[in-house]
This record gives sequence, structure tokens and C-alpha cells, in this order.
Amino acid sequence: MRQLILLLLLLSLTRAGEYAVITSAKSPIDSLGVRFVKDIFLKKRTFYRDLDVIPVNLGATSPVRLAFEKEVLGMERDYINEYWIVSHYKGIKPPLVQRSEMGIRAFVANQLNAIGYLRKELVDDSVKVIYEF
Amino acid sequence: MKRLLPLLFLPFFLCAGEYRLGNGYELLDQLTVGGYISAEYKRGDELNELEIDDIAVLGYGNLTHSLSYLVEFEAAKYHSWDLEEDTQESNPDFFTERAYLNYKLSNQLQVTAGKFITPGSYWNQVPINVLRDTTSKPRLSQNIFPRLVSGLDVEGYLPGSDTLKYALFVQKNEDIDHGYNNFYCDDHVGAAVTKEFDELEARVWGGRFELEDGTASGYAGATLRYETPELRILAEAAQSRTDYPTIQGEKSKESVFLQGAKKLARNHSIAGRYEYYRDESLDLKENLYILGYNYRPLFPVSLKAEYLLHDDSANSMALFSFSILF
Repeated sequence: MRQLILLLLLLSLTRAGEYAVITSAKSPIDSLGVRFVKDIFLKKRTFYRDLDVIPVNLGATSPVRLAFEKEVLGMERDYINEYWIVSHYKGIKPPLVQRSEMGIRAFVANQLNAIGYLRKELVDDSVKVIYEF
Repeated sequence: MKRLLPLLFLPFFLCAGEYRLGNGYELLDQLTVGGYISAEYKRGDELNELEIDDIAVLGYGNLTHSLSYLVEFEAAKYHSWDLEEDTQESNPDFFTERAYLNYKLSNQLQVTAGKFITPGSYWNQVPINVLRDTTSKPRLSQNIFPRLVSGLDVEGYLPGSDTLKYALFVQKNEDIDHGYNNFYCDDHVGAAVTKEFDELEARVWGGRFELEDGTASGYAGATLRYETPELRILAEAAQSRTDYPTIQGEKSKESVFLQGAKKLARNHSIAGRYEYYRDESLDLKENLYILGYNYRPLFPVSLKAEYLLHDDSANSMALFSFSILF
């Protein structure tokens, strides 16, 4: 039993931090809590202090996006789609989409107020990690 | 305004594979267009009515990152057929339901100017058939407060809080478009405070409004909402007090409802609602029980069937509706 618990613990530790939420290396944002990241990607909040932030998603079929939706947003895809359909009536559009993680990294690096996510191994000096999942 | 009708179908002619039903069509970076339609059939003891209830077109977008706008034109009760009396009626004119500019200064402060949905009652925030769980609307959403404000609203998170929101609004002028509101008022002030939990939201709200004939009313309400992907529960209670200077003196209205909607499968859900309504000025007390079924082949398409049981059986009825958001 103890071995099983240790194994589960090890698995959960190796899984943590596989992906990173990133912003520009020059951004004043150093770290964010999961609720804040969620609110930004659902457009419930649009500022970090006095900085207006731009969330950037990966394409709908990306496995990294699926992991982000599950781990950070805590929502299944159908429920997210429903959320954006209701938001359409309220005049709110979903976040911008970049087709690849490299595209996200380039966009975020050049846009001081952009926030995206990618696999942690793709993080370089142009961006900084503000949340891991 | 009648010329707006063809605009409803414009996105379908213009779209080239990117369009997803229910999400609108982005004509320009600064302009997304969409709309909605609903049709209802009502059958009661002395009621047999078919109605194209709502036809609406909306457009919105961001002019800058912080400045956005929304306009919505709607023809309500567009065409109805009274199958009992064999008559029909048409109201093809479109009216301005919403038209506003919104400027976000921070998470703590955003300003909206124009005609917008009255902050407060949760039901009132998403009032269209296709996004509701039932075809029928509670009395609370119709008889207690003006659904729309033509004025100014400031709202946001309270400073230092991640979960507490406020809204303050004021109207000191005539409605931007008289054709579409449940109360014709030219003076309306109010406020709402919302506490957010993970899946639960609690709100208190209230205000005061004056009709163009000088009749003044105050109202206050409370909302509790619980939502998960499979279950939605909404409870609201409100009271208004109206001062009738020349007729009856001060009279009150009270309305309470509790509604639950449960998803049975991906496209199927059921909903039930209990409602109590009292209008002292009419010496009226009502208890209503609603049980409904909702089939959504896609989320922005809704086919509903429900039965409304009124404690005066003459007012009981069956309702069926089709609605779509595009």
C-alpha cells in the first residue's frame, strides 16, 4: 500500500510543471495564481494591475490546449464552447488563437501584455514563466 | 428598420467555412455580427397561439483593447397567429434593444454608456429563449424592475477583492428607444453586489425608478446561482413598492422563483421551476409550477416543450418553442 502511495505521489510530481503559462520577459508580471489565469482566459478580467492583458490560445485540436483547459480552466471543451456562445450574446469574443507553440512564444515575446502557454521545454529567454501546470 | 431583416442572413452568405453556429461571424476585426430567432406555440383552455416571438440582429467589437461597443435591434412578437380566433398580427418594426459603448479602465472599473441590460437579477442578464432552460419567463423578470437602462453604468471588482463585484447605474433621461422596455421610465438608479465562489454566486440588488407619468417604485432582490456543466440551480426573490399618488397609495409586488435544470445527456436536459407572485395593486396571488424538456441538437439550437401549471387552472398551458442563436 505504501509503495502504491509513493508511486502515485511520484507520478503526480513528474506531471506537475509539464506546461508553462508565459508572458514576455519584459513584462511586469512575475507570477499569477490559477484563478487569475483562468479569469484572464475567460475574459472575466482584462487587466493585471494597470496592464491590459491579451490571452492567446492554441488551436482547438492542440493537446497542450486540452491540457490547459483541463488543468487550469477546469472545464471540458463542450462547457467552454457553451460559455463562449453565451459570451457572444454579451458581445465578448474568445481569446486570439496562434496555430503553434512557437507562434505563441513569438507573439508573447513581442507583445508586452500577452499571456500564452506551451510545453515547458520550449521556454527560452524571450519569455518568462508565470504559472506552471 | 424593416430593412434590417436581410442582415440576419448576411453572415451565412458571407461566411467561408470559418463560421461556427452560435459564435457570430467576424466581418471585420472590429465587427462581429450575429442574431437570434425564436418561435413559440402556446396551448391552453382558451389559448391556441403560434408566434414568431423574437427576431434580432446584433453587432459588436473592440475599437481599441479597452473600448468596445454593442448594438442589438430586435422585432419582438414579429408575427403571431391566434388559431382560436383565426386572426393574425404582425409587428415587423425593429427597435433598439441594446446600444452601448464600454470602456475598461481596470478590473475595478469599467464604464458603460448607452442602453444596456439592467444589472441585478441574474435571469435578466441572459434573457433570450435560446440561452434559457425554459420557454416561459418568471414574473420576477417582467413585473418588478425595468429590464433595460438608458444611461450610465460603472462596475468591476471591489478594490482588494478577487471575488466581490459591484455595479452602479443611473438613468436620468428618456429611453433611447421607447419601443422596447417593460417600463417606460425616465429616471432609474440602482446597484448590485455579487460575491463569487467557485460554482456558486450570490447577489443582492436594488434600485428606484420613476415612470414618465411620475409613478415611482423602489425594488430590492437577491439571487443565488449554482452552476456545473450538468446542473444549474437559480433562485431569485424580489419585492417592489410603488407609490400611486392619485389612485391607491403605496402597493407592493413580490416575486420568488426557484429553478433547476439538469443535463440528462449531451443534448437533453430537463428543467423545473416553482414561482410565487403577488401584486397587491391587482389583489393577485399566483403559484406556478413549470416542468420542461430541452433538446439541443447543438448548443445554440434549442427545442423546448414544457407545461405551466397555474393554481388558476384556466391559466395553465403547454408551451413549445424553437430558438436559434447565430
